[in-house]
Amino acid sequence: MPPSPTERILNLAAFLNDRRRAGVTLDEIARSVPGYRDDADGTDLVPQSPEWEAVRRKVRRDFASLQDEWGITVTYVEEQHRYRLDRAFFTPGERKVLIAAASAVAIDGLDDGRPGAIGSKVDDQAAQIVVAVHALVDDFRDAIADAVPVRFDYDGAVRVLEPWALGVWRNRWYVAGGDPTRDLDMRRFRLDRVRVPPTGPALTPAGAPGSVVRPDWFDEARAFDLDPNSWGHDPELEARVRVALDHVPAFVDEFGATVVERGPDHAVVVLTVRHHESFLVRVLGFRGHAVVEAPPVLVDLVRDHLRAVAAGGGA
Amino acid sequence: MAALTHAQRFAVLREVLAIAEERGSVPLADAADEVGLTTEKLRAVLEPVLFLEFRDEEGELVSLSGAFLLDEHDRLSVDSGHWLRDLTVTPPDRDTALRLLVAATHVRALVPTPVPDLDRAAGKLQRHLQVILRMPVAPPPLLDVVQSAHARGRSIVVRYLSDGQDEARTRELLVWRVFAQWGRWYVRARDVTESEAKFFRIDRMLEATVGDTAFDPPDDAEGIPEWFDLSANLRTLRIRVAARALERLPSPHRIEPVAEPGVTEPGTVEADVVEVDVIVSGDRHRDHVLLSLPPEAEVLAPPEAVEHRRALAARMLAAYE
Repeated sequence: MPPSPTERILNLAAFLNDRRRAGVTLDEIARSVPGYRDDADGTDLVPQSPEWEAVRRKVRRDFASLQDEWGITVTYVEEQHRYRLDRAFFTPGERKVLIAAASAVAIDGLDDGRPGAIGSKVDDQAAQIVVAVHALVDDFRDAIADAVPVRFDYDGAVRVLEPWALGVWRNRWYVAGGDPTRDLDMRRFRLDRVRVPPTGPALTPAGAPGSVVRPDWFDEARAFDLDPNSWGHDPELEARVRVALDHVPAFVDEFGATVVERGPDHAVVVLTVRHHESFLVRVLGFRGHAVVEAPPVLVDLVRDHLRAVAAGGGA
Repeated sequence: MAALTHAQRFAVLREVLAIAEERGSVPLADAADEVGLTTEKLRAVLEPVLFLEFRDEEGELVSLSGAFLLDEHDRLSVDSGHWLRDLTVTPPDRDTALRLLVAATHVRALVPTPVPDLDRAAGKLQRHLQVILRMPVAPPPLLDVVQSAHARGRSIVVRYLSDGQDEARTRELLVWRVFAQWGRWYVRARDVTESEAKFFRIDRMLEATVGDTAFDPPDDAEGIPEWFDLSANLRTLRIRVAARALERLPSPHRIEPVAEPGVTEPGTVEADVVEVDVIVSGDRHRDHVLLSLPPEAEVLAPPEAVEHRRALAARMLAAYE
């Protein structure tokens, strides 16, 4: 009984794999893989003959099927008259670690890929990490890959952006890009503030695909550092803060500060302050466990604020 | 059941062979359920990959089997790699590539030494996607100790600073599960002095050492929670404040407008002044918001928050006077 098309195509792939070094001729395929010739032991195929043409068409159809269904592609090397498998995208080792990664990290918020794609069938019950990806990451990713400007509603205003990169800061997703109305000044938008309409897409094209060019000066590490202390423009000050020992790790994490002294019940940390108001607000979060010791201008900032609030302020 | 088309057969094979590779092995009946076929129908679809045939250079028919195995217990397994995937030239579709890149990025941040295969794979995905995706992943410093204790079935002794507390306290915890959710690492663990397991944030552990108590971590049937019910901790403050001052309020919080700018007092115009409810989780965040408001902001409710705000500021001020 002749093999089914499924059998024939899989056998063809296995045969190409078996001969991947040397490659194979059309005649070798016809003789070696069941389903291409009625008489596998017959004489060689005569180029341009009706049988040769029929086998060639069938092989090419099966190559197309291998490409569409399995992503396996074959190149015909003209000078050798041989077909060769192209190099795989991932090595088996790379695929193995990606599958392990996919089983360790469960991802919420992204569309599923193609059925049967790598990592689609892992058992993520044992996943250690759950990552939430904002639903609009997909859409912005496509816009960035297609280099197309996009228009969207942000906090009630229509914005146009040439998107350059996606990133996370403090567990929130942002897109960074150029504002075409401001000479491509960099702007960043929080994805959870982009309005998603009840029907229709949240992003619409605002230009031609391929028209966005990411500038050379773009620095993604800085783009997604949204700490006001990193980009503030207030006069730069070196702050010295006394922090109760139990609160030092949280303080260092919050400010990226450096511990310079450690006593029995407190540590002294130093940091550079570039945004005075945000420094004040964040220090207040530590209540009495963080006390600013220097410089005087920052001490006064905190003291004057507390005095005014303690005095009743707006009540 | 209608006969499967050629494309449908390949789609079934893609899924079932992916299961076999990614889970190591799978009962045929379970795989059949996943792809919506009967076991017998799936068995027939699988046959071509279980028994491959072609002729060798001498013209002898070679039967290849072994890459995918269906054993006598009807369990499908993959023995020496998924050879069809080994040949796949085209990169993953964009959705799959993004999922894999996110997963790879997180794992790369956690492994103690670089994994060249993982680094190369992540690089290929990044280039394929043509997007810059910045996802800083910073595991807490004590994660290693916690994972080690969990893996060894030993308790951990920690100094733990609970939210809103002034001082840390020492606890001995039996860790049932270690996981990361919403960018933070947690353990689900039972304090040896308590009967119920709770969630603890690893970044709030100031010190951690592997303890002396040995135990067999139970199967944590609850899995990783999709969310923590913090509704009992929600605190609402009604304030009247300049709209621009809302930007300086510490996160996280939710703001619900009560009155629009300029209409807080009928008949008067107070440009840029808004009346809003600020909803936060926990007393510590409520206190932080109260302290962070500009002095001229008014706290309207609850009434006791007015005095509480003054007292908080006075207490902090003592350290500066």
